[in-house]
Amino acid sequence: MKILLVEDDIDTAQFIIKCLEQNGDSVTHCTDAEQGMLNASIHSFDVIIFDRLLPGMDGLDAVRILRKSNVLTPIIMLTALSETAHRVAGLNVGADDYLVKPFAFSELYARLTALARRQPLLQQSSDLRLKDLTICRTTRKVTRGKTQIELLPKEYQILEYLILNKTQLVTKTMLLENVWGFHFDPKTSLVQTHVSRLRNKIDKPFSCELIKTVRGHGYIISE
Amino acid sequence: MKQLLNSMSFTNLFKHTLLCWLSACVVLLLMIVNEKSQLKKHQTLAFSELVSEIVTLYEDDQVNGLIDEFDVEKGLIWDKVQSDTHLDEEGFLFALTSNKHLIAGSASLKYTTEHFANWHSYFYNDNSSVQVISIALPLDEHNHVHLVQRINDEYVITAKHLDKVLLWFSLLSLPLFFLAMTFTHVARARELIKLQSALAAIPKEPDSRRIATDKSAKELFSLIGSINQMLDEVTQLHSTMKTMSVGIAHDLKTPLSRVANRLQSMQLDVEQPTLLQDHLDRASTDLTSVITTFNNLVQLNSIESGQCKQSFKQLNISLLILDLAQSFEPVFADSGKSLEISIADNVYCNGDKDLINQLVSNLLENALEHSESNAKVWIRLQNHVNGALLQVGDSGPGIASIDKDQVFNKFYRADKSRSKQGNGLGLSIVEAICTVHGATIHLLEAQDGAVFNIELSRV
Repeated sequence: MKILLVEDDIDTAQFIIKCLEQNGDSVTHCTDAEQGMLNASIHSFDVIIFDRLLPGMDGLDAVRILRKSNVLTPIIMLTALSETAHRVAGLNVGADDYLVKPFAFSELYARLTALARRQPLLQQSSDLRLKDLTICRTTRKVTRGKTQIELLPKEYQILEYLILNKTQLVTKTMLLENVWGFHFDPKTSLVQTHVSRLRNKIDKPFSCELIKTVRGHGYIISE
Repeated sequence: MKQLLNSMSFTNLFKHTLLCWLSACVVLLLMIVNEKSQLKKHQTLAFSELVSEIVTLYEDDQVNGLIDEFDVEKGLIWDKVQSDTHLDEEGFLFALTSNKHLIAGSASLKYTTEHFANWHSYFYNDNSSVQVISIALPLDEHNHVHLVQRINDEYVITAKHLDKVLLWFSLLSLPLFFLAMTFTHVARARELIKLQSALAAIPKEPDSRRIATDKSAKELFSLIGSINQMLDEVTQLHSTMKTMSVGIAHDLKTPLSRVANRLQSMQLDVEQPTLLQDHLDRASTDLTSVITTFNNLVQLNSIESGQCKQSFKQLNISLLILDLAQSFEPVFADSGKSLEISIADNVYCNGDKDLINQLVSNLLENALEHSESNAKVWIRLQNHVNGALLQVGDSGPGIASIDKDQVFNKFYRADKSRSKQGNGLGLSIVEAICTVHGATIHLLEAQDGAVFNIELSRV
């Protein structure tokens, strides 16, 4: 992925750059909003990471300007402000996602990949397939091999979200946001419980496991 | 004494005294003016009786009747000296004219031309004067009578007395008022000094010492009451803050010291990757708990600030809570407990979706964590007078009554050792969310388990 990082805090920036480069991505780093906007409009990137609190300019305004000047690259905003109002403000000006500091790199990376690959997924097909697993998005019918599997609504939503982001890490927080619409972290094992029930239904009776746990980070669905 | 003098404001004392004195003088002046005008009216009335008598006499016997009545002869004209003597002796003077020609009476009355009774000063030959009422009365087309009556002595003396009263009052009352004012000011200043020293003593024992209410100081009674009440509230706040800081200190120190230990262990185990990985995982878990505590504190603060009220919408909380409860059902089942869900349809409430989600989720988590093994937990939502009633309860063991008042306090934990998971902010967040939604929350009395009762208002 080609990534633009706009972040004034050197420590955070170096941490992100190091991790991204280890994953084989190329990073362009700017420390202020103007430079960031300039880079974003001249070069093409797969995804932009924009810090909210930048010297001289609110990242929010920068994103608004970028969107007005027709830069459609997916943007994820980083911020120390976790309030709902701030998150909503970020999404309102045209950011695609919002992540609160401090964050685990796996969380950021999962979101970056989800954003970078979002565009081709927009052509919504009614059937999603992964190996011998098929889900029909109109009837919500799930089959694996020749067996039809009955899923509860939440289990279906989790499976659908996982398959839409197949072969990518999906974190617990991403599931909470996209399946439950929660913007807070419940203490309990809400996600784990539902995922484990889902696995009991779609993986256990079969020889090959599709959903894999990445310990401490989240889940990946893949062949 | 010096302190007493310092505390008194003399400018204020003077101001108050002058103000009181001036208003007293004005009141007295008004009373005197009123009294005088009453007396004057009385005099005028007596004079008009005399005038009507003369008119009647003239109607009966024309000019002669009047001449008889006045006991003078036609053509008798008094000069100034005679007029003065007559006024002194009889109390009145007259002049009878026919076609503006004096027939009888005083020659010195020509100045009187008004047709209404009027007050004048009459000047004697020796330039002394008396108060008189006079009138020029037309009897018919040709004849006029001019009448002058001296104001009687009683009136003059009374008026003089009244003037004197005013003068003496204004002279004497000023120092008297000043004395009285000084007295009350000194008394008040004493009370204030007493209050001041009582207040100064409070910081020594802020939690227990209060200001004694003195029966003599009635005006300060309610003030002292409010100060004591304020002190109680501040003490309460202070103790909450204390619990909070102890809580923060503990909840942050424990995981941080564990991280520090991990870092030391990592130095020792630097050659063994499997151990290193384990240390890293544990250190990261501990740091996450610190961050969660901070996030909760920040969130609690932002909920309490009430900013989120701007984004309140009408919500179908039946759907919201049902969805949430159903999500939690398997979590309860996995831990060997059960969740009974009974949600009435179409219950609405004005609020924030995120916050309501968190409210219910925190309550369910609380029940999950603190109920007995195999507990039956239930969540109920029903319509209620002017709103909705939400209950989350469990079958036991409940909350000890000494803890009941404190469960909503920040960082309060019934588990004194603080060994269990959690940071004691969950129920504080619940309470803050209730408050911002105008809802009331309390623990029901006399139940087997902990039953939280929340009354939400529709508006």
